Amino acid sequence: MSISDETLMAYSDGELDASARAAVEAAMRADPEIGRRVAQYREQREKLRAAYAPELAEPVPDRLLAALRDGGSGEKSPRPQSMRSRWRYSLAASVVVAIGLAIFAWQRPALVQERGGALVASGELENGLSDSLSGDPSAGDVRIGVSFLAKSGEYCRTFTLRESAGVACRRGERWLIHDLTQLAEGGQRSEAGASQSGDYRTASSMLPPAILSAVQAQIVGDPLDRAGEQSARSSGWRPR
Amino acid sequence: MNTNGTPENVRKELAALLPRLRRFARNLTRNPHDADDVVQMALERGLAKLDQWRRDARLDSWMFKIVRNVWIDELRSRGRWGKILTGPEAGENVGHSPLDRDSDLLSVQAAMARLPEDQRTAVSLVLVEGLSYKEAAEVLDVPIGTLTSRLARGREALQAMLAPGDAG
Repeated sequence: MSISDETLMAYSDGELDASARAAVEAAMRADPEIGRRVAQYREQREKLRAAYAPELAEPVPDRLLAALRDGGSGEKSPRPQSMRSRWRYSLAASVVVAIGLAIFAWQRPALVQERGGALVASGELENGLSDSLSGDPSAGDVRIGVSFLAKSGEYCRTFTLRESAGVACRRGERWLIHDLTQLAEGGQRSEAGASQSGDYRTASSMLPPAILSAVQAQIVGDPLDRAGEQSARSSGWRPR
Repeated sequence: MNTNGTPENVRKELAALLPRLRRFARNLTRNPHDADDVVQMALERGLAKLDQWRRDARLDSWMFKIVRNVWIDELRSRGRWGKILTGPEAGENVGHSPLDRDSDLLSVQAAMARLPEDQRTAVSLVLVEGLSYKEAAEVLDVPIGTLTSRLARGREALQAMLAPGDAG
């Protein structure tokens, strides 16, 4: 009689019902090899358990404790002032976006201007959005992440600019800034740091999650590849 | 949802779960930085939809599932982005445990990191996190037979890597 490895494994893991268990045990009495295989499964389980046990003793980073403390309290109570903004950003929090844009515009008047109630890119930011291809070495402080066609029918591009990251979409002759957030301190701060340190992370993962989710919510299909970007650029970022 | 103090209990339970969530996320992502990012997003997602958690379900299983879903979402976005952005895969960065002093233990993690994702998560949930086959199958949204077969293949591959002279 032969018993499958899956059955022996399930036996060793205590997953068999009484009758199946009895059958395995009978087979083990008849054939020591079966008992040896069951023992091997048990040893392996113990080996893995022991190998991973030390990880449970590692200290939990503060930011995870903070996420636990602050998360899910959105509607019931105001979030604490001390809360770190990086992961908290929600597209629903349009007030925060508006304030962020206003501060950004105030800090960088040469890069963002108000036009009819909307914020549009100007200067270096406008040039970067219009001319640079994704992943190009940055000219100045503006760096383009990805370009994509949005559900609105417009071309949109993500960008980083010093400590900010955002999404801008082409409307008419202008780049309207839709989403903007601060880059985190430390690891996610700058794409320049990524190349310096040889960080394996792609430029996309350097973008704050808020921007990534904004893109995911808006994107149609896949981001443009390089040829697609070149073609869109030559058409003045007007979808055909 | 009962808002009267219940979330605080859940928060305490989640705090106790954090080390295991991180450990599972490391096995899932094979990278400690990604793992903590994923756990953080999973905490926020979990807390935001706590009312969807059935009290009769295990909180750890429920959170493992959210961790995995967050990671899948992240991979999807990277897959798209990866088409035009360069850089080696995050998965290349293996060996996350500071266990250099013990080569045997290190080899367990290194062997795990070499398993395909479906086998690795099955092994991780059952052998490392101690879930039953049924619970692990629910976390992964697969039939129990699929879970069992992934687990068996993963364990066979691990055995070959960890004890090559002793493969049964």
